[in-house]
Amino acid sequence: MPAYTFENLPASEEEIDYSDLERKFAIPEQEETLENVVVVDNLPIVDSSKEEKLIKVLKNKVFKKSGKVKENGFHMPKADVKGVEKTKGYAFVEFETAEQAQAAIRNVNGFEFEKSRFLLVNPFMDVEKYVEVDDEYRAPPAEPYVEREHLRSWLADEYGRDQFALYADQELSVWWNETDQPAEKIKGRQNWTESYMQWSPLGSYMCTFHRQGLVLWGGPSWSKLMRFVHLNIKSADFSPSERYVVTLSSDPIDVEAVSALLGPENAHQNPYSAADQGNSVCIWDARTGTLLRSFALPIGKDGNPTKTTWPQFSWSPSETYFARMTHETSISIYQAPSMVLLDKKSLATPGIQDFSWCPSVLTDPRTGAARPELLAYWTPEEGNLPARVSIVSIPDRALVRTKNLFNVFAAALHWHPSGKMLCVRVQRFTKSKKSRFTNLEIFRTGERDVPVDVVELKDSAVAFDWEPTEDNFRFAILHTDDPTPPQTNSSGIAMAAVKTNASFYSFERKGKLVKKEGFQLLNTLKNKSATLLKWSPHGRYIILATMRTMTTCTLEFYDTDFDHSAANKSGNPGDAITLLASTEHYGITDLEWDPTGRYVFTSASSWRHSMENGYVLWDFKGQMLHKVMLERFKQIHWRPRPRSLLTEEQRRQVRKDLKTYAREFDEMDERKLHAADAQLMTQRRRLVSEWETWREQVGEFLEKETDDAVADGYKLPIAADNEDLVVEEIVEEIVEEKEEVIS
Amino acid sequence: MRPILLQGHTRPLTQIKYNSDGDLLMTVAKDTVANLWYSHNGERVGTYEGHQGALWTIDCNKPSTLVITGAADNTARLWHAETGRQLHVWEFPTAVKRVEFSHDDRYVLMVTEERMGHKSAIYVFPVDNSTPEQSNEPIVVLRPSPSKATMAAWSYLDKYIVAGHDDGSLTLYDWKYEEVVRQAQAHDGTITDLQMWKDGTYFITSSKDKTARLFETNTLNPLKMYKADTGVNTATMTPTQDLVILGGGQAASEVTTTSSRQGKFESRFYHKVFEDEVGRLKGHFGPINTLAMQPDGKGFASGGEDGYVRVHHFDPDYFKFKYDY
Repeated sequence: MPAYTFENLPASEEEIDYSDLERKFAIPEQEETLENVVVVDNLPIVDSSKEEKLIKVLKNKVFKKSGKVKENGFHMPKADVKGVEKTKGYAFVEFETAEQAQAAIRNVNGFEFEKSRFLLVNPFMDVEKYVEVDDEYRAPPAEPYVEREHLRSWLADEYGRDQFALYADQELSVWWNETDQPAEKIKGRQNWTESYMQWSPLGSYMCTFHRQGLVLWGGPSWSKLMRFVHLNIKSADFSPSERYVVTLSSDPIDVEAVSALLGPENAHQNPYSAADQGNSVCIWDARTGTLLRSFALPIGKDGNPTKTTWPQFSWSPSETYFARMTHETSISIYQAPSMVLLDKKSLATPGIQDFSWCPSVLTDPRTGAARPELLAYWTPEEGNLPARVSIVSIPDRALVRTKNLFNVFAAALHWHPSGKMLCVRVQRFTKSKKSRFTNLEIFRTGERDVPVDVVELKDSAVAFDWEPTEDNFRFAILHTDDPTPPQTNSSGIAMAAVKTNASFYSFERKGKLVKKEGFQLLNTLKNKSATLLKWSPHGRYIILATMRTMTTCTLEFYDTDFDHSAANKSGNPGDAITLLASTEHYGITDLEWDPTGRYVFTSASSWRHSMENGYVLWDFKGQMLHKVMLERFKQIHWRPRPRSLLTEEQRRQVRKDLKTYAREFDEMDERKLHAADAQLMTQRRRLVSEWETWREQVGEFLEKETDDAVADGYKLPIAADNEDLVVEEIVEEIVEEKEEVIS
Repeated sequence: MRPILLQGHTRPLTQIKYNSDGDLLMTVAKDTVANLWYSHNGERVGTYEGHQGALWTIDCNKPSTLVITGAADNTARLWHAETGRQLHVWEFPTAVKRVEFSHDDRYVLMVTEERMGHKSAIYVFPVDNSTPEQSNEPIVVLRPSPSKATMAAWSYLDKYIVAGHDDGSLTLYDWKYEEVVRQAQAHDGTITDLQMWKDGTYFITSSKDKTARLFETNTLNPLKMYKADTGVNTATMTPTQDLVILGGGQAASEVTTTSSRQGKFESRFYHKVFEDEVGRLKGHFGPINTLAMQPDGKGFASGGEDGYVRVHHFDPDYFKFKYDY
C-alpha cells in the first residue's frame, strides 16, 4: 500500500485501503480437523441385517458415557464376501468435539464387548500419522555413550565420614562432617534451592525445589542429574529404592503453560500431553526423567477432591506396588512400572482412616521364598460394626488377619522396620467415655497365624518408636496422664511442657526366667518433659528430647545396654538402661541421628523462631562437639546411606574384630589431627610474620615522618615516662593501746 | 577478676575514657553529669556539672589538666580537670558527638550531629593550655559528605583526621588543607566507634554490620576483620596482649523476649592477628555501648546501656595467656 502523505489523502472513506489491516488482524480460518473422529476396531463382523442393531448398541450403550456421536457420524465400511455384504469389523465414529473423542478413547479402549472381544479405540489422526511412516526401517542415530557419575562415590571416603546438607540464609551447601575440627565444605551455592532441600531415601540424590519443578543433584561433582518440570512443585517423594519420584504441585498441570515456559524450541521437553491436563500428582522415572503417569487428587465421598495429604502414594518395599487412600472410602493399589490399577479396581475399605505397607518383604522361613507383601489399615467404629485393624496381602488381596477393637478414639500404625511386628497404638475411651487411655495391639506378622499381644497402659501414649534392630523387638513409648496437648503458637512451638514418662518394653521368648511369652516392661523413666523419642539407627542408644517447646529444651542421651552387672544382679534387663548425659539446646526444633548412629544434629530453625538459630553436633554419648550459630539458619540434614551389603554373619565378624579395626582408625584420627594442627600452626606463623613485617615497615615510615614533622616545628608530646611510679603511702597502725589513769 | 561496679550514672553510658597515665577514668552518659573516678579502686574523684543535655563524649589532655565534654545541648565545654570549674563553652547548631585532643594537645576536634537542616561537620579548635580564654574561631571546618560523620580521630603526628561515616565509609582528611586524601567503603552499617592504636598508624572500627575491622591509617586498607553475631557498638585494642575487645548486643528495641543470654551482652575477646574469638566476659544486662583500655594494658572498663560502668583489672592468668603458633 502506498503511504499517505498530505498530498495524496483519499477523498472519501471508501477509498481508504484497509487491506493491510485486514491481513494483519484476520482470524485464521478454522482448519477442518479430524480430531473428533476415532477408529473402533475388533468389532464383530455382521451382515446388513444385524448392522442396524450393532450401531444402536454402540451408540447408546458403549459410547453413551463418553459423549454424543454426531448425526450420521457412524461409518462402518462393508465388503462383499461371497455375495453377502458384511461389515469389515471396524468403524469410524465422529463425535461432536475432540474432548469427547478423547473421553471415548479413555473409556472404551479395551472394553470387553462380548466374551474375549476387546474393542480397540484409537484417534483417527493416528491412522494418518502411521500411514506416513516410511516402510523402510531406518536406524536412529546412535547417541554417544556418556558415562554417568558414580552416585554413591561419597561412601568410599577414606575416613568413612558422613555428609550433610546445610541450608542457611540463601545458601545451600554440602559438607563433610568432622569431629575434631570444623566441618569441611564441599560445595555451596547461593539460591541453590528456592524453597527447601531434601535427600533421596538412600542418599543418591539431593533434591532442590524451584518454581519450575524439581532438580536432582549428586555425584562427585555435584552436577545436575535430572530435572522434572512440574510448575509450583510443593513436595517430592521417592520410592524406597529411588527408582520412582512422586511430585505434587498445588497448581493443576497446565500443558500450555509448560510449553510457554519452555519456549517453542524446547517443545519436545514438555513431558505432558492433553491427558495430563488438570492433574496434580506426577510419577517419574528417576533415572530417565520420563513422566510415567499423572494423577488427579483423590475424589472424596462428597465429590470434591479430599484434603491434600503427603505422601500421596506409599510404596511397597519391593517397589512393585504403590497405593493411595481415598479418605473413608478405599485404597487404590497401582502396579509399577506399568502404572495401572491392580486388577482394575480399588480395594473397598469403607471408613478407612489410615494404612501402611509392611516395610520389608518377608520370606518364608522354610522355603526362603518371598511372601506376598502386606498392607495394614484400620477403620473406625460405625453403627454396630466395631473398629477393625486388617492386614491384607497384596496382590491376592487375601485377608491375613483382622482384629476388632472397641471404644476406639484414634489409632496409629507402627511397623517394626523388619516387618515382623506391627504395633497398633490404639487410643481408647474408658467405659465412662470420660477419659482416654492407650492400648498397644502388637501383631506378630512374622509368625504363622499372626498372634496378637496386647499391652495395656493406664494413661495415653504420645510417642512411640521401635528400636531399629533386626530380630530384637524393643520399643520405647512416651506416655502422659495429661492427654490434652499443650497450646502451640502459629509456628508450632508449644507454650508449656507436659510431664511425660518414658517406658521401655521388650519381647521375651519363653525361657528360664520368662514364664509367659510376650512384651515385658523393662523400665519406666518418670517425670520427664520429653516430646520425642529417637533411637539410634543401629539401636541401643536413645535420645529423649523436649522439642519445639518455649520453656524447656532438654536432651537426654540413654544407653539401654550399659550396666549389665546391675541387670544380671536384679534379673531385670531394664536396669541396664543408663543416663549417659543430660543437656540442653536452647530453642531446639529438630533432631536427626546420622545414618551410622555415631552423631546427632540438633537444630533451631528460623522457620520456627528467630532465637539462636543454628545447629549443634553431638556424639552418641551426648557430648557436644560443635556449636554453630547461623543467621537465618533453616535446615540441616544428614545424607542417608544405602542399606549395608554385609550379611548378618559378616557384621557379627566385624563386631568381633572391632579392636583391630579400632586401632587402625585411632591411628588415622591421630595422623589427621597432627596434619590439621601443623597446617593451622603454619597458617598462624605466616599471619604473625606478615603482621610483624608490616609493623616494622610502619615503624620505619613513622620514624621518618616524625623527623620531618619535628623539622617542620611539630612539638612532640612528652613521652610518658616508663619508670614505675613510687607512691608513698603512710599507714599508721595502732600497735597497742593502753589506758592509764593518771591521778 | 572481680570487676568494680561504678554506679554514678542514671542513664545509658555513652563514652568512657582513661587519661594517659591510666589512673583516672572519665565517664559520660545520657544524664547531664560527667564523672571522674580513680581507676584502681573505683572511688569517685568528682563531677563536671553544667551541661543541660545528654553527654555524648569526653576527653582530657596528656597532662590531665583539661577536660573537654560534648553534649546534646549543642555545646562543648572545657573544664579544669582538678577543680571541675568550667573554663569555656563552645556553641554549635547541633549536638557534639565526639571530641578528641590532638596528640600534641594543641588542638581539639569536635564532630557534630546532622540535624534540623544543619549538616554534620568536624571542627578543629586550638586549645591554649596557659589561659582559660579559648578561641571560638575554628581553624578548620570539615564538611563530610555524602553521609554524616559519626566518629573521628587524630592520626599519627596529628597529620590526618580519620572520620567514620553513617553509611559505613571512612574518610582520611589532610585537615590543615581541608582536603580529602581518600575514602573507602569499610562497613555495611553505621560506624559506631573508631579507636586509634597508640601511635596512630592503624585503628579499629566497629559497626552495626556485626563486625569490627582494623585499617591502616595511611591507605585505609583493611587489615583484619572480627565477626560477632550481633551489632558491635564499640571496639578497643589491648596494648600488650595482641587482643581486641568488642562490645555490643541487641539494641534495647530489638530485645524481644526473655533472658540476658539472648541479648549477647558480653565483651568478646579476639586475637588481633588471627581473628579468632578467644573468650567472652559476661556482666552487663544491657548492650555494651563503650569500651576503654587502660593505657598500660592491665585492665579495661566497659559502659553499658544498663547505666553501669564495670572496671576490670586482669588476673595474672591473663598475662600468661599465649596463643599457640
